[in-house]
Amino acid sequence: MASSSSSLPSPSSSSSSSSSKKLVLRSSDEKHFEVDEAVALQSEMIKQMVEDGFGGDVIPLLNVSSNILSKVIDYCKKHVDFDSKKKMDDRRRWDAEYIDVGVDELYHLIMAANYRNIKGLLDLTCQKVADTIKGKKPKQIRIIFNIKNDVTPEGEQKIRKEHSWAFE
Amino acid sequence: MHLLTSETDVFDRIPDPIVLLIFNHLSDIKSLIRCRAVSKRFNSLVLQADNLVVKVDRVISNETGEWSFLLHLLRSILQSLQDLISLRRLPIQPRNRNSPTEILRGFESIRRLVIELPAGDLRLEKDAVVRWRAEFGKTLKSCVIFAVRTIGEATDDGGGNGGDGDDMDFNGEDGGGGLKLRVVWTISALIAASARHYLLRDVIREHREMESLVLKDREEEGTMVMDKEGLREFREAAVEEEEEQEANQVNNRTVGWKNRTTVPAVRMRMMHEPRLDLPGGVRMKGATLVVVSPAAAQGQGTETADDSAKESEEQKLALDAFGGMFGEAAKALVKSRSYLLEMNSF
Repeated sequence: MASSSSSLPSPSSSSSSSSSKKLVLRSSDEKHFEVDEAVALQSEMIKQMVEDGFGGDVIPLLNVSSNILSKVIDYCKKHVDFDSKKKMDDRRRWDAEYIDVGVDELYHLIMAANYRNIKGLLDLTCQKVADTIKGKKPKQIRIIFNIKNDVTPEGEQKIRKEHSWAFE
Repeated sequence: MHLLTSETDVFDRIPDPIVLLIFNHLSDIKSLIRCRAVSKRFNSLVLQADNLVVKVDRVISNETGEWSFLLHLLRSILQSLQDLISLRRLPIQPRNRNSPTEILRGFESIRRLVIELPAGDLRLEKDAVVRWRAEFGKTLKSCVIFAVRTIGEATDDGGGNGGDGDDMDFNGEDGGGGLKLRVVWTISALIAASARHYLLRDVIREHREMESLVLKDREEEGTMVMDKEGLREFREAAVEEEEEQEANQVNNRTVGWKNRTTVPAVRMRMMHEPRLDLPGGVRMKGATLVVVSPAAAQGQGTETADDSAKESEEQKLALDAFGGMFGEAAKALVKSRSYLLEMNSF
């Protein structure tokens, strides 16, 4: 079903000559994306909608902006490719490059992956956050993610004392 | 390069289940405990993480510390074999470190737990490599041991020379110390495995929700695993044991030196190749594969019929035990002629 000419996320006006079935997704800022059904079905949520008979209409994704949606579609497209090839090394390399984004974009990708229920992307994004946290001190973690410190100095001291080995 | 900080509190908008998912991906206990000091929400969510990896950096110096079991234990048991195999000296720290039981206290939803020791337990002759994988319930269920004297590149050097062809090569130079050494390695691996099993008895008792437990080491020498069924079996046996002790009013503590689980009477199927060429140009010399399983199941009549079933079961164990190069080697070795040995409980 490979039709590379039309599989780039693009506004739906550019109709394609591909024979494979297409779905149209609409981002929160009213942009339309036409994608191969196989790509869209990477999302469990969209799969459910198609099964329930809503596949023919434009599928609105209220929480996902167009720039994030286009990035999510990139992921799904690539992983439809990967699934048919089974090259683990290629996949890992591509994933690592794909996920090399700033914290804010990472956040939006997590929320989109969660909302659209794309397990692979959710795992990838959560792993990235986990890797970012790994080995950091509490203060560094707060700074990176802009987390408000609501732990009392006494509370923090208690944790540090009980688990001093973890804070060396 | 991306700016790694955020303008707004990112986590504020991420729902609890996702934060928990992130913690489960993090899995490293040290990082998780640091997260407890980040914020109140982190603190409460961290303790719900169900996928944990505990990396033990250094062995505690405290003489009574649980982690030092392995050292003392192996030292005392293996004393007589010391010329063949001796203990690796692990860096001893003057500080008192927490036991696994204490480290994990507070975590109430652990389902999968991996504990990683800094190093393997066996000290072998130079170039030799041993890998073992043991599965436990209340005691040993199975153990697969793979040992090889040297791993090198396959060259034409000596390729036509079949001089090292003796199957088990009991005393030959090239086979690596022969059968005696293989038996010592096998017993050492079983002792190490049963000591690791014993080490975790409190953790298993305290975390009844646990479904999978793995105790391995950074050198990937040995892996002790317990699955859901094995953990259940262990807990049931522990309850019975306690009741029995109460009924008999015995207050017998662990007998003597034995800070490890008793290994039942076992049968061992041993396969050996003086030389093994693997895909990719790897040549192993003196490669031995041993599959250990409890002998008890076999002793109940109809032995011939049982035997072939048992053998294919053992082959399956051998094939599933290791990955990578050692998996390839096991695959090649299961086809070799095998020797059966039996050993009493110890």
